[in-house]
Amino acid sequence: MKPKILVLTCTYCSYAGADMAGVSKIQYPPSAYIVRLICSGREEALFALIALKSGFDGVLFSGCHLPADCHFISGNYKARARVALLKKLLSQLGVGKNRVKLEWISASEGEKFARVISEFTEELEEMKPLPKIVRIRDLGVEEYD
Amino acid sequence: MKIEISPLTRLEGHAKVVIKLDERGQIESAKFMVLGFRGFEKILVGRPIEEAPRIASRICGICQVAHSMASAKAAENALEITPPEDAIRLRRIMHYAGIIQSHLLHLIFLALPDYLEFKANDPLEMLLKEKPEIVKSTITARTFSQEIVELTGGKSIHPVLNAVGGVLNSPDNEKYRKLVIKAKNLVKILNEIVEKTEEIFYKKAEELREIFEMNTLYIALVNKNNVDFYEGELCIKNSNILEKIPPDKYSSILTEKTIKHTYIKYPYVKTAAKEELTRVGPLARYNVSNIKTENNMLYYNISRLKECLQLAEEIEKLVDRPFKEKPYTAITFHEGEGVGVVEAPRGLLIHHYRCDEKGLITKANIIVPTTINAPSIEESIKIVSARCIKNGNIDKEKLKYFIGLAVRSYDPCLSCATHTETSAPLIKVVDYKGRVLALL
Amino acid sequence: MIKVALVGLSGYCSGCEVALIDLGQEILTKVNIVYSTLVADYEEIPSNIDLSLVSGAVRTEHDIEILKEIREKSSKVIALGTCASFGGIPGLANLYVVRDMLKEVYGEKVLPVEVPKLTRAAAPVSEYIEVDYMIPGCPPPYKLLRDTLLSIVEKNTFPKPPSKTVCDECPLEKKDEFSSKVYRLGEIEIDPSRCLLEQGILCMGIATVAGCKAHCPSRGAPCRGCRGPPPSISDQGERLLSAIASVFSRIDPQQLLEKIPDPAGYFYRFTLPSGTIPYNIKVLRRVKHEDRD
Repeated sequence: MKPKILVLTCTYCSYAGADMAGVSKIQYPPSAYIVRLICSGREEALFALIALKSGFDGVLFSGCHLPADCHFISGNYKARARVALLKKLLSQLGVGKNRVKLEWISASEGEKFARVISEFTEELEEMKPLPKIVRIRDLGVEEYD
Repeated sequence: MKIEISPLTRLEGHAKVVIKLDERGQIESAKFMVLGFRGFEKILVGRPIEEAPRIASRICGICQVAHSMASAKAAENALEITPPEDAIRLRRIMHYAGIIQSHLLHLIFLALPDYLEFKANDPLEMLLKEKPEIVKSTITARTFSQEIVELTGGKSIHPVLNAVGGVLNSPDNEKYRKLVIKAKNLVKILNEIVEKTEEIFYKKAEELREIFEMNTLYIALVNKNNVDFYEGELCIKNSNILEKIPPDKYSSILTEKTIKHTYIKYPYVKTAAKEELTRVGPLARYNVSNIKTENNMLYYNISRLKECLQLAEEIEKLVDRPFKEKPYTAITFHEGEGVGVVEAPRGLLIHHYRCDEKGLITKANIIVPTTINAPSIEESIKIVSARCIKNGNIDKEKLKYFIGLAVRSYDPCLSCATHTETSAPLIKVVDYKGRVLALL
Repeated sequence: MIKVALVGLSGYCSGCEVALIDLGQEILTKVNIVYSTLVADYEEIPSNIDLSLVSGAVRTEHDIEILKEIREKSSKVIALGTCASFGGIPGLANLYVVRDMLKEVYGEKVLPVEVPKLTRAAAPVSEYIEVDYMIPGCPPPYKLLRDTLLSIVEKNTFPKPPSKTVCDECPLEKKDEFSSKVYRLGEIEIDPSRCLLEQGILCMGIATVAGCKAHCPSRGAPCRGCRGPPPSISDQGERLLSAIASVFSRIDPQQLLEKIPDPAGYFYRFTLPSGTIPYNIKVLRRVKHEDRD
């Protein structure tokens, strides 16, 4: 089973980059589930947390290059700070910081988009699968044996 | 025959006592079982050390100020910081006020019903009916104490202004004026409370002396020959001999002993001769400051009462001049290890932290007074039960009453005691044959 | 007078019960306490309780039984305090595996015991029973607790929770100019009349529900989010992470991580069990009968 990756993209750069990859017929694994948002500043940590809880193996945050490509000026800075803190949080929660990635992909970088997805897929395949995250009440009690 | 008091009420926390008697009516086993758990020594690992006081204060909702103090002191010790004088003055005020409200809560709401021999399931209602003036005075006194904690510490329960490096903000002129007035009123009202209740506690303590006397060692914090609730050295009293030890060497005297027939590790004091039971708290503080040693556990409450007044008078002295602004020193992080010891309401409280070069806690060890008292609490249950069972005649109600009196005299704070990963030191199984009956 | 039961679960510190006692005659004389292990001697939980105030997080299987009993016997159940509402500080233990902690104390030999077993993760009360109302706070602030309880006890009305955040109630001066650096608490001198976040000190008021009148920031101590998430947000920690990151987005991420070395401890301090990922995943790797895929 190929790992499932949630790919968060921004309208003006990375989604266009994904489009470019498609138009140029560059192959990349079907593991990517692409979501188009208006800006990388809209890419919330909550999406990653919910995705990882719901069966996704990895989440890719993407946006316009720093320092000045963001159509909304500073959205990508926010994404950068969020992902940094999110990765540390995930390592504390035992998920590991390697399941979340941040890449800057411009509208013309179709090849980069495909490469990033392929590499990420490979990395995720190496990792042990995430156990299914259940509700606390279904965890039960600690047995002393 | 099994006598179970479950739940044991009018204590902070959850507990039950199970006593097994054999055919001859002798005590076969006495278990003081505590049923709570949080795991603070693990929760603190990985947390930034400057956040420790605000997290550690949640170990207990009654003695939170004491935990906040010990925690801040341990962190300052680890980072080698000395807070400014006014910070220490503010801390002392917070700490003393916190102790007063804790003592009053115990004395009037939890302990007094036993001394007045109320036979009702709702002692609070009886207190309001029979002794309304005492209840009103107590509520007022507690309100004053909590307000004093809030004026100096920011919040009455879980003081947030107490931080590593000092106290983040000092009371401004308006708050300072309020502080002075409340301190004065507190002394006044405590005098009233002592007057109205002293006799009640004395009478019962003397009446039941032969049942409740028990010889142990005592430890309290002493600074230049006087008991000091905020800082000092550990002073052990062993039948009139006093021995002093610096606080960071606590582990040399408080060793955990593995008892042959159980898996419990009890904290015991290692003296030269043998390992003995040791007690902390108001009675220990009294004994360490007096030549005579009082071994009647019901005197715990009398010392508690006296301490309230004594501490209120101290607070009045401490607010004699206003406070400087911003009483704290800036901190920098490096690897370190530190011990913070204070006298909490129930006795000696020790926080011991180790942190790495980023200032994140790598190891935490917390010894709370109720854990130090735990073996004594259990021994008390055994002794008191044995003394009131005569010739195999067991009056269950009377036994429950005496056990209640015994356990409550220590004012156990079971939330504190179960801060560790398990309720380990408080569950004991003793069989007259030495068999393990149950354990944790 | 309505019949009230006070119940404390294993993961509690009794601070919320002390907060109730601090209310004194404003509340204690207006209700009939029919169960409380702190101030009364009832041996069993009675039936026909009008209002149960539960404090503490669920930590043992005994707690679950008590909750079910309370739910059956009470008309209304209120989660008192943050531990009962969101998990609270005992919830931070969810970052560690219970089994490892027990092994550390006992070694390999752990015998069956007569004490209730621990759940694998601490949880708020709502995880196990239906809760009619929550009064979060660590402990709930005096005025809020008094006004809420009086409204419930005297008028049978459950007040609507506040719709704003601590930032909105905070009296500190907001200049809308942010520091270019982040500092850990105690590293610098704080100006207690100015917004703490703007000075580079982390303050969680930005994503914490109002109701306490910004008690801590207005006195000079940064908020740590003890009242839980703002209305209509279920995961406070994630919101705080997002908000703090956005505020300090121009700072180099390495510097940010250096000054926020413990995101779980800062953002999820009081609400980890009610977060999107409520525990450390390592817990699952120890569980035997779980479906790992």
